[in-house]
Amino acid sequence: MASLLKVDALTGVTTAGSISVTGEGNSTTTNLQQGLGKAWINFQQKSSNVVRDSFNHSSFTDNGTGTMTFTITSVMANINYCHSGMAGEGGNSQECLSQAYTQTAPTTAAAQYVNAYVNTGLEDPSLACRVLHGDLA
Amino acid sequence: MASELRVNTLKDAAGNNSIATSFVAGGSAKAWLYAPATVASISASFNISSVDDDGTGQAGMNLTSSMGSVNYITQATHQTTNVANGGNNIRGMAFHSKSASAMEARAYYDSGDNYVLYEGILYYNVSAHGDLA
Repeated sequence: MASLLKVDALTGVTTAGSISVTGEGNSTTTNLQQGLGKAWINFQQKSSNVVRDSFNHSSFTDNGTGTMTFTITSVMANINYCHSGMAGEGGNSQECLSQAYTQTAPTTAAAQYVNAYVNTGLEDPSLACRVLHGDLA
Repeated sequence: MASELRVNTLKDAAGNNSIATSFVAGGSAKAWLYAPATVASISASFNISSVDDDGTGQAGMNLTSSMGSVNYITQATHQTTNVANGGNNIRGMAFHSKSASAMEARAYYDSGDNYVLYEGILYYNVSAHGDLA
């Protein structure tokens, strides 16, 4: 029977921040909160700064060529969260998006990234994407 | 009291923002890891039972709940010391192997046309999406 649940918030019974969801194999369960991406953004730095789409992002800062900072609205619980991302620009195929930890360590609200290519410098990407996984505050 | 809710679709109370529960299960990351490059410890993780130092720039990860097959996707990004112009500037991440219960990510830098395994990054950031067993 098809079913529909209308609700504004989901909260675990035993632990408020922990809800199990049955996985695709119909046996193993996964944790809903832990598996959710807590923030993501599709961003263009080249020519003009454009946020094409995003979730839980409040602002960005253009820190110079190939360098950008993203700030989120609902912050993470600590800085031990997982960054995943990629960037690309034109024919420079060896693009690499990095979180330069020692230059600018991430905070629970913001992280700075640099986009480099082929050992010769930094470059504004036409496409930069990141997603964060970890614990919300 | 523990409880189980069986439902096909979730909406907010106003009836908007509909999402099928299949997207909740299918779209959720099934594992993620934040760990130092030495892989001597785990800073934070989900569904990772242990990590292995498989050599310079080689991080093995073992899953607690296995995936349904090897056809899951993996992403990896590194946090590095700095990205100054010149010298070992491109530091990439790639996956060397995957099984239903384990995966190995490798960090490297570009040296001309050669890719050299590299442990000078500070942290591995790895996530996996796909079907659980």
